[in-house]
Amino acid sequence: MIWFKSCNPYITLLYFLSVTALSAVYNNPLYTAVTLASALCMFIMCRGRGKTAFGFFMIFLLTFIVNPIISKKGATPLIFIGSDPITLEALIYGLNSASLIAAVLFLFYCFTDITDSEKLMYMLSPFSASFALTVSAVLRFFPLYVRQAEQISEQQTAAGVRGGGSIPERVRYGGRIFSALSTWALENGIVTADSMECRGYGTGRRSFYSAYGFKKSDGVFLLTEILLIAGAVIPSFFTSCTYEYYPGLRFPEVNALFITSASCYALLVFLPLIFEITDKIKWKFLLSKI
Amino acid sequence: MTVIENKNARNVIRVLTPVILTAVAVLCALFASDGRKYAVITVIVTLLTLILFLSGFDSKRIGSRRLVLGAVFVTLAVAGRFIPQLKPLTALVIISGMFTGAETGFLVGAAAVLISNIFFGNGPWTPLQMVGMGLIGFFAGVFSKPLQKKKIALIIYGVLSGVFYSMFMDIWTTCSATGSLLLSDYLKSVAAALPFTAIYSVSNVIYLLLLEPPFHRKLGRIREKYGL
Repeated sequence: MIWFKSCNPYITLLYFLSVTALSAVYNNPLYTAVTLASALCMFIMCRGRGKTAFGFFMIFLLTFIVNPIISKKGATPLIFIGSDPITLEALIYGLNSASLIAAVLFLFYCFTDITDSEKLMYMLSPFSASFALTVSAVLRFFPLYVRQAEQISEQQTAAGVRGGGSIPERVRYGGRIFSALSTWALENGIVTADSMECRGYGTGRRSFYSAYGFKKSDGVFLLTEILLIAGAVIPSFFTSCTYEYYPGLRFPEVNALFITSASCYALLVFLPLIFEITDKIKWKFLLSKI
Repeated sequence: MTVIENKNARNVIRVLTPVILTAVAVLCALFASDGRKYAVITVIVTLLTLILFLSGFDSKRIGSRRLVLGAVFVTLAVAGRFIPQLKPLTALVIISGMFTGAETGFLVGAAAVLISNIFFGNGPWTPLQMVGMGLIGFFAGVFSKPLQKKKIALIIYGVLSGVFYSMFMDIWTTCSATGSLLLSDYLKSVAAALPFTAIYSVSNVIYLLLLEPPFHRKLGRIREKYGL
């Protein structure tokens, strides 16, 4: 996902939020299938080959099984367990929501992969400068504390305190290190804050450095994105796009409006992949010219 | 990112945008789904509440010392979340709220969840967790006086925060599993989560009792040394 990673973070955020929200609102197996297909493709591209998604599959299975067991709604019982029916409708509903959850998990995996800490800061800073500062400080403190903890541990060993042995001993040793570390950390924090203030933090108006501009291709993507979201949402005000599960399964009426909404949604979901592949082809083409 | 020069105008926009967006989001979700898709509405509303809450925080009012102390607590809390099931995260959020104030407490709670979720997986539930943990830190700051003085208040707050967080997150569990928010379904999932709630509350109390005295001492020492 080289192209998608390099574009403006707000655009990627809009993509992930709109796809997740729309697929959950429509709750239609057709929409869910499209989302899942795209999410899987993106997951494979983000994660590389040979990696599995066993945890996600377990969540999928759990959601799929739980709904038919809990839900007693629906008109077509398939089998009875005791006096409780397991209905076809609940089964289909479970399958749909399980696929939806799996798709969302895949999408958010990609979102986490695409959004590094720099992008997180960029997205947070206009809303809350102090929150963004906290996040940025934590990301710096983390490696600092790990290093400090190692030093403390070495000093303790040199002073004759041993960490190995039984579990209570190890816990006590860990507590010792944690205590020393937090004393040092709190004091270091005050020194950091004083140093920040001495250099003029909080005196003038804040300005933000940002590494993310707004390129022409970002504009094209954003415009297409907004048009497709509108194309997927507006028809649903005039015709029903939601799938009815209870009491009986009912697919929404297939008319021009529904087809417009569904195809706009499908295009929206696959938009990053389309841009990605176009970009790759362009790159290959340029390479072959040299 | 500062396009608008006027500070007041910026503040008005910062506060109004989430409010308007929340209204629009709720209306859209209601129209498009006959009001049944609570999961989406829940996520959008909490996300916007979070933005609204955070945008009200000004680092000048909090003060840079308290802000950095908050960041220190977040780092310690996130490091502690790597211990499975027993999470000192909540205890550290409560302690930070107690000693650095309500506003910093909210910030520490929200930031701790956001950053630890970078390691444990972000999802649609992240804004909900951020608000839940933020509120725990916030109210620890509000009740800081009794919490600092009496052990029993600390124990009660530890139990309550465990129960609150668990029940708060059950809203999400119910929404995501059934697509609706019926009281009966909600009570079922609360009942199913009862053992976890119990473990969680007890571990909260244990960690609070273990961690509060040393942090009280350490912060007292720093207060004396630097005149906080």
